[in-house]
Amino acid sequence: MKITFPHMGGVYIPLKTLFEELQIEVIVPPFNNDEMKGTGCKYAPEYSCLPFKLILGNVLHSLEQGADTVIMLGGSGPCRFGYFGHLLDLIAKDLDYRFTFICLEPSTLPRDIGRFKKAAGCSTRSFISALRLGWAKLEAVDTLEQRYWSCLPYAHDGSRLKCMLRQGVEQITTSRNLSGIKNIAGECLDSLEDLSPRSYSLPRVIIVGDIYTLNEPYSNQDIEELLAGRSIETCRSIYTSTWVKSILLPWKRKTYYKRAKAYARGYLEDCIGGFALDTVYHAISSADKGFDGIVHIFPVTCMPEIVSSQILQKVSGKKRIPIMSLTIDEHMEKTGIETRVEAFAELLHSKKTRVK
Amino acid sequence: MKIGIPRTLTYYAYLPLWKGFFEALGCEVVVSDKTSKGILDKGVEYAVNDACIPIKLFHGHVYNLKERVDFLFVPRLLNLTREKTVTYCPKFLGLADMVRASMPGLPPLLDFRIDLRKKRKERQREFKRMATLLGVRPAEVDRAFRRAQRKMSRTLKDLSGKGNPEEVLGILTEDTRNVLLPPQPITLAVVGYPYLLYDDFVNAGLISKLHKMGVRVLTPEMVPEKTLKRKAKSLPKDLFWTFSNQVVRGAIHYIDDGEVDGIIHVTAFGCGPDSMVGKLIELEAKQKTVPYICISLDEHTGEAGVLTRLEAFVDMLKYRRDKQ
Repeated sequence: MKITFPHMGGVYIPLKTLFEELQIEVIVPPFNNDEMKGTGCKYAPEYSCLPFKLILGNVLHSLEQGADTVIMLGGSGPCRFGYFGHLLDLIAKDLDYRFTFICLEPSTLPRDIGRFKKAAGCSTRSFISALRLGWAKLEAVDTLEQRYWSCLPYAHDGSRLKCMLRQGVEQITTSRNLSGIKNIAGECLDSLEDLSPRSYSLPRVIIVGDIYTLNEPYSNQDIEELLAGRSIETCRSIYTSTWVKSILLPWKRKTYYKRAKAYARGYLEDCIGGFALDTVYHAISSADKGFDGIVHIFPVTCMPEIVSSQILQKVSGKKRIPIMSLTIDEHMEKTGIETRVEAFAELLHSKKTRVK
Repeated sequence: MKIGIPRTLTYYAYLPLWKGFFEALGCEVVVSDKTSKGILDKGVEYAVNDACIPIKLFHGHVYNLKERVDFLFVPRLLNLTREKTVTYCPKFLGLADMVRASMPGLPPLLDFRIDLRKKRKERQREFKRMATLLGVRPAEVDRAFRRAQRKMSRTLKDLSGKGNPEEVLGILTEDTRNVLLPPQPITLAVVGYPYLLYDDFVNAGLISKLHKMGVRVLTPEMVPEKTLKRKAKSLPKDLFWTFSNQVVRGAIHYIDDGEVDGIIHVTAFGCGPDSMVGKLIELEAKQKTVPYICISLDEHTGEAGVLTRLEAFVDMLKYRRDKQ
């Protein structure tokens, strides 16, 4: 069994750990690049979103490398994500690839995991301990990244900071015990802080949008780095680990949605699928918390985010907070986004100095 | 009391339900004007530019109605079918919030949730909200809705077996038209959402153009509901969107049936669900070697462009048939 899965930011770290701990051969596709995008766009439907195209590119690349099992998460809509796996399966089989497709549907998760365990021939105990190790890694990497982006604009030497982060992530990825991960993360967090003393305050923006575009730097054109380069502190509204924690655990999900709906009242009255409610909620709560701007980033043809982008215009007007809305597709060039980021950053800086 | 219903989206599929409902409550139903350039322009003005043309048109129709009515009917339509996993496109679910965010000076919106999967108690709560808005008793709303549902299911029964899209539209929207059909050597399945197929403005008269070319047109609405449900089994998993399911299942029915010479998928530019629907139909058509074409519509769609593509497709089908 040679298993593969598509990328989404740092998700490859826990998944690779999980499969390696279970002694399953795993093929991790290369990080998203133009080649992945090219393959994906060639075979994906024209109006599908960039996430689907990249995911398809990843999977086709791995199948070419000899993977024989593809694992993916399903969903219950109405965002298209829940059908990605099945469509991908049909498209790849139409291209004459032969493989087993395992889709983890939320409604039948225990059964699907059971099927996987049987196919992999592992015990429940080893599965759970591998899962715990993987989860700890994801959490640690996400915390590091979060700190990194808030420190980067303050750092004297950005490249050293980047080096620190890369080292930390690498050590966490290769680590094999829980306490080791904790130590590495703690040390790395401290040195990130030390390298970027905060004697002044820079404009702070919240980045909202769908989970894939937020967490996959190739698909958001490194928006955080661009903003940091213009001395803007950024905060990503959704990290994979925080989202999984607030959504997958039923008791947390309830309070999360209650809070989100309370914030979004008067703007978006119901959960309409995808990340629309999260987007509106994070935008409003951040505006209340004193953020200086909102960056809304989402793929072209994303249905839930189109709704929220229209609603965010109202948020921007009522809360008097500047917003930049970026729609991303495969034709997006870095120059285009750079120009917009530059203009937006200048606006934020001038607003901040004027207020002073 | 005047209730405004925009002449787009669910109008083309559920008008008998909405109309029956409001008339049973003693309200007057006002439908917006037929889609025109003016309505489209207003829609483009008020909707966010990433939205697809049906959503832009919806904004235009709301603008067209807003001065003339006491209430605007913009329901949060979640489920009418009782199929558990099925709902509507997220843009449908957020319609009320969208127009509210961008259009000033709206009359009160009737934006109650319609979800037939929910228990009676929860449905009752929504009816209660609606009743206080309209100033009637909740029990009356409940009764009116049930009566309208019966009317709708009668309408759906009338629909199956009807051989002409104009008739389907007539039954659905009480818009009586008579079209003389020329002899029809070619039969085509034209699949797509009702608000694209039956709105002559947005599709640049696609169906009447096909009729003029002597093509018999079949649409998903003409397939009996039972057959559609049976066809659902040929998909790995149901789609999440009611209209999309109808389109895919209808398309698969026509492809499997062997009755049609080709299949046309009519879609709106940038339609999210249709990116999946289109691929599913394409793969199925490829397997069964049924000619397939996709025509996508946007605010710049012109008559000539649609006509050229239709003519080329129909000519190709005629050659194919003559060769056989």
